[in-house]
Amino acid sequence: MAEPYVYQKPFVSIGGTDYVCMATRVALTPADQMGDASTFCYPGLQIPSGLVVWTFEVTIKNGYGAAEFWNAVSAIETTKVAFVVRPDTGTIGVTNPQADFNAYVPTIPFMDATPGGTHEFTLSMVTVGDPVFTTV
Amino acid sequence: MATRPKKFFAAQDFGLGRRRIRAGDELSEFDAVHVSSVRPDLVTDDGPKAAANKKEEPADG
Repeated sequence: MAEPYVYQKPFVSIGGTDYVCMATRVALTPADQMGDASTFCYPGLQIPSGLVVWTFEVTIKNGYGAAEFWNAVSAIETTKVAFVVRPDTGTIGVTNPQADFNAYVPTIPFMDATPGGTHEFTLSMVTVGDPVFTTV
Repeated sequence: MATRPKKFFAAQDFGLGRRRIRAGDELSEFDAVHVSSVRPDLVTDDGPKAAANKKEEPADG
C-alpha cells in the first residue's frame, strides 16, 4: 500500500476557470443523513438513511482584475455552474481521480482589508445531486 | 402505436456519489439526466457498445 497522498497543486475549476492560484483549501466532503433508530435495546442508535449531502468548500485569497476571482465569480453569483476538482492539475488517472458536479455559487465577499493583509474567505455550497467521479 | 421509452447506459465505469456504476449498466432516467448535466460523455444509448467498455474487476487476494 502506498503512502498517504500529499497535495501540491490541486485542480479546481469553477464555471470553466481554474482558480488554484487563488485557493488555499479545496474540499469535497459527504455527510450521511442519519435516521433515528433509537429504541430501548439500541438507545441513541442512528442508521444511515441512504441520503448523502455533498458539500464543496474552497478557501480563496481574493483578487481583483478582468480575470481575477472577485470580478469573474461575482458575475456568476447565485447561478448554477459546473465545478471540476482533482487532487492534481495533471491528467485524470487512478491516482488523480476527477469529481464533476454542479453547484449554486453563493454571493461572494467584496473585501476585508487590513494593513498589508490579504482577504481570505471560504465559500461553502451543497452540490446539486451526487458528484460524478472518474479515473479515465 | 406506443413507443418505448429510450434507455440510457453508462458509457464507462464511474462513481456517482458513493455508488459504483459500471460500463453498460442501465441508468435510471433521473441518473441519466443528472449525469448528462455534468458529464454528457458518460451517458450513451448504445448499451452493447458501452458494455464492451467494462473493465475487469481486480481479483481479490
